[in-house]
Formats: sequence, C-alpha cells, structure tokens
Amino acid sequence: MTRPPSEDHCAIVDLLARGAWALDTGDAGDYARCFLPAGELVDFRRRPVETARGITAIRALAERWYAETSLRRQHHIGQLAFAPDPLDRGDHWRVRAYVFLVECLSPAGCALGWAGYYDDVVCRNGEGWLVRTREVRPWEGAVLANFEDPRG
Amino acid sequence: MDLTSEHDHAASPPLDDRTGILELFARYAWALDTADFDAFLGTFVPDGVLVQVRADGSNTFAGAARLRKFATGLCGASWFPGRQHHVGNIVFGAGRPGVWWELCAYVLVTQARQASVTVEFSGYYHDECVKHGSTWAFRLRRYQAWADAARTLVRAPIDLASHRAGSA
Repeated sequence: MTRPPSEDHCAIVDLLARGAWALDTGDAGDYARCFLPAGELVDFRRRPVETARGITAIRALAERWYAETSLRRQHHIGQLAFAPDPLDRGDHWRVRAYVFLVECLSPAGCALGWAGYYDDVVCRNGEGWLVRTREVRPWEGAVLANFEDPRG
Repeated sequence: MDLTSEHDHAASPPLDDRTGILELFARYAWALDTADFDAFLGTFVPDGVLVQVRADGSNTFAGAARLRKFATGLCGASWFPGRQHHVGNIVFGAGRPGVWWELCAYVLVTQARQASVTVEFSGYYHDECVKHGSTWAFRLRRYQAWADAARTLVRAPIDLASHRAGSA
C-alpha cells in the first residue's frame, strides 16, 4: 500500500492543519501536542541545525520562533505526498508536504516569507494521528539534486 | 479511450476518489519540482496529454515521449529550480465514481531563491483524471495562466457539469 486509507489521509491532513493553526495563533502548547510525547522536531533552516526532542522542548522552540519573528504569519501547507514508513512500522506514514509562509505585514499588504517542506513521520496514537518526527527543510539543497545545476 | 456512459454525472466524488486525486496532484507537483521525470510520467496514462493553453496558440504534449520532452525542457531552464506548484480550490465536475473525474483547480507557483520567495505564476488546471490500476492518473491536463485566461473564462466559462471525458 503506497498511500493511507482515505479516512487516515483526511485525519493526517487535519493534523497538519491543526499544527499550522496552533503555530500561527500563538498556541505553542497545542502545536507541541501535535507531536508524540517523545516526538522530535528538526529545523534545517537554522545553522547549526536545531533539534527539539519531546513536547516541552518543541513548545520551547515554538515560543522562541514567536520571540524572533513576526506573529503575523500563516503557514500554507499542501501537496501531501505519502510514502511507507522508512522503518516499516505499522500505523506509520512518511508525509512530505509543501509549506510556504505568508507574512502579513499590514492590513494592506502581505509578502511571501519562506518556502520549503515538511518531511514528517506520523503515527496513529489511540484514535488519532500525531507527528513522530518533523524535519523543516528549505526548498534547496538535496531536494533539488535532480536538477543539472542545483543552486548552492 | 471513451469513458462516457449513462452513469456519468456531476456530483461530489466519493472520499476514496477525492483522496486519490489529491495524491495525484501532490505526486505531479513533487515530480516536476524535483525534476523526477519518471515520477512525472507516472502521473499520466501512457497516452496522456498535457496542453499548455495560451491565447495566442496552445502547445500540446501527447504520449510519454512528448511529455518527457516537456518536463526535461522545463526543468532544464535556468529559472526553474526552486519552483513549487501549490494547488487548491479544486472544483469537481462530471465523472463516474472509481473511473474518471473532470475538475478544475487553481495553481500558484512560488520560486525560492536565496532568501526571497516570489510568486511566478498563477493560473488553473483543467483536468481529466482516470483510475489507472490502483492509483489515479491524468488522461488530460490543461493549464493556463490566469492573466491569459480570465477574460476568456468570463465570456465562456468552463461547464464542468455537462462536459464529458473524451470530448476535449
């Protein structure tokens, strides 16, 4: 099976949307609760790469994002591409999704702030789905390796 | 391939068709945006057709060889790496559950370059998707820039409810 049953597909879409809403409305706690208690968030936008393990650390990282950036942001998530779990675990899926950020600078104007993708592993937890691992990656580097002349 | 039958109708597709077609859209975007040409071809049936609709004359790419040429040409352009195709606002038209659906969708293309992101294209797809084995594939995909299409569409909107696959 190369993609989840439709009910699970929809539940995973809901999970990613809930995460975006939580992040964009300043609810770092609910954003962290989209992850397993032992979940992991790796931010490849940062140099050095930053890793948060566990809900407390993920919440702290999200709160730091708020402190460092504008709160007037929206994460637009789509084009979910499913693949079997790399470790072949039951009730797990790898999900890659496009993400772009819109910075709402003023009531009159917005601008694109960032474009990249999530590379997640999600898993069923009781009745619902949660993120086990999330890599936040910019749209550059290895993902563009097929191009003859990838940008540095 | 004539998919039309008395069972065709305009309705909301079943959940399995809807998620399968969403997955097809994602595969197409990922394949094109990462220059994965085999995956790109895998989103079309073997005799699939892609049409670049333009007010001053359309370009048609029919069959695997022409589709591959389209993708390699596009991805080989110096300006293409860094683009992402974001698709939404899917409007389903006629179809037959588990067999085929016609639909329209918005497409927005962003370009990430260095620290900036820009919008490079905004337009629409007008697709005929068919169930192909266990997955969905494009039988016909048309796309057009909105700036090019808007005036035409206002005068002659696409009638998704009455269209039948095979008539395009």
